[in-house]
Amino acid sequence: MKQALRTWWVGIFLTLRSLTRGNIGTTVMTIFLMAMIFVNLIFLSSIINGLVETANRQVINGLTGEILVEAPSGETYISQAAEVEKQLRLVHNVQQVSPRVNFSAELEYNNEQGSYRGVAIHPSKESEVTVLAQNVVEGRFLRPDDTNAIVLGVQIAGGEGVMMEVYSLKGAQVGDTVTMRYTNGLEKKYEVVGIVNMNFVQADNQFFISQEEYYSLFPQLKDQVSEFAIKLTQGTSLQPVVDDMKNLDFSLNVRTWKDTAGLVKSFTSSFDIVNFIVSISAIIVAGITIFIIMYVDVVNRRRQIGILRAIGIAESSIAISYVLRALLYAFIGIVIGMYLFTFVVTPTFVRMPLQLPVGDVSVVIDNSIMYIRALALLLVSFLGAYIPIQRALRMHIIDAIWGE
Amino acid sequence: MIRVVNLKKEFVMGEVHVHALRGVSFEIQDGEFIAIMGKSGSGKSTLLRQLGLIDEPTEGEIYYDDKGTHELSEKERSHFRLTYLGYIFQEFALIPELTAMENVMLPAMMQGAQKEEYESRAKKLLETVGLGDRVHHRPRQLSGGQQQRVAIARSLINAPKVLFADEPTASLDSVSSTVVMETFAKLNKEMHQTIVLVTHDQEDEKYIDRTIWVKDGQLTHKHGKK
Repeated sequence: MKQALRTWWVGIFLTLRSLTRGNIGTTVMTIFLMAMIFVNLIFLSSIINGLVETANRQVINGLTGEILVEAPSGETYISQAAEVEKQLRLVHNVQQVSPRVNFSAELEYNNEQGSYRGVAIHPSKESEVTVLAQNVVEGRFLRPDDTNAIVLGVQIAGGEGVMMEVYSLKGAQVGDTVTMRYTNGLEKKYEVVGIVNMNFVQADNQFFISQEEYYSLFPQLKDQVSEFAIKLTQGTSLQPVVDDMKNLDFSLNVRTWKDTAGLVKSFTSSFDIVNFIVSISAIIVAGITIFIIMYVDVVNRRRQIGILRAIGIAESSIAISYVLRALLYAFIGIVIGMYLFTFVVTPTFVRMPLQLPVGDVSVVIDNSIMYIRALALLLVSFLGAYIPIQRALRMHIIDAIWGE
Repeated sequence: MIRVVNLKKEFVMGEVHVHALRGVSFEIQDGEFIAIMGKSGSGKSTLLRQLGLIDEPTEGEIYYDDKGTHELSEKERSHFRLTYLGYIFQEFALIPELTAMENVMLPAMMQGAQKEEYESRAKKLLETVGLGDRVHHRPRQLSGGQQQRVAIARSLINAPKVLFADEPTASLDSVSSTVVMETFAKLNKEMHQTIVLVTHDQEDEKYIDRTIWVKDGQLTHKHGKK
């Protein structure tokens, strides 16, 4: 025990002297490199996490809510909609319910026309579930009693800078009139009262009218809806609510937002794989970099290591001094890297997010992931120092000192 | 007492086998100041490294009193070097990040001495070698001769049975060389320190008790005590 303490004490003594009195330039550069390695280790992951989180948020806030209740398979509509809605609202942890009727129709504006997805909504209920109303960039959102009004997604309205301009109405604006042709041949003119821009192609490629208007045109569909978008109280687990809804006396098709996300789901799961591969390669690259730094250091100090051994300093003390130094470099680098990421990288991305089809993407990293990466960096630093020093200590003293 | 029995050392360099020591036997008594001399490549440094346990002979034995060093494990050899032997290299061999005092006290720290004890011993030894006013200087702030005297102080910190010095004055000017050799002589005379040093400078013979001459890995003749 006493000998072990002595071994550690000499190792720590050599580490501290080397850190405080060694070449300050080399120390600063090594720590800076460690900080950059750490930032690199979390940066790409944080972008991918940001992308996935943005996509998920957009799906929930712009499309489905947290749970989407649809008609049973083989049926287009949920009948007894009012009663179903009432029952859904009674399910524990359900905060808001938005009934919707989905349909498709042709829109025409200034000789530009196209077939788009329409949603007949109850505007005030929809606003409680999704954030479409908050993302009206021109005009206003629908009101419950609107009959000749339409709100267009920005990808339908078109205009400068719109990603799907070629398929759009090429510049329909608030106040303009568009002609809608329903699938049954019914044709009606609507005034564009608002344009929604969620910065999310899937949400922005649909238009909205009020259910008041829809049911006035299709009274036979009264009390029938295509789906209910559900918002839950914050922090609720999805599955128990889904199970409760499935147990209602209606045969409903109940799915979480994850199950309905489709394209988004497939690319988020692909990005999870990319994230994993990138993380593993970043850790390997970090390990190799640290190994090279420590290897060069050990080679440069080979003679010194030989001399320490020759005067009777325990090999374990020498090993401790090198490994501890590498761990300290890594630890200080990690702290600086965390500081840089939290106070420089993140605010920069919050100010200037990446503008991608799924929305404005910023960097997002979970603290637990950050700590796991920090531990991984400490581990590879340990190995990066341990392997070269063990190799050096296995050398014959004569070879270490005189290179014979 | 050191007893060397039929010591052989063979190096393999590619396909060439170099016989650096060809069966060397001799004894060194406690308190002796011995010089190992010979031409370059004669095997004198190789012999010193075997005696100092920083290299292992191909054949033969070295006994410190009655303890055969060939029976020691690598860890025990390290502890033996720390406790019983002091080694001074030709090229000063100090740790650049440590002060003169820290360089000297390091082996004592390793041996488990108390802080006050090793600090006072290190200070006293630096005063003994004439560097009492340089205790907090780093190696780069010291001249070659001063660095070598720090190395001497370091080698003495654990009160070794034997002090080995491998051409300790080879990298020094004549004034520094004289100071270093006089330091050795003083240690031998006043503290009865056993010293074995390799040198090729016959001028050094005036300080020593006995010379062991090495030629082609063999002893040629031994001087008697002056």
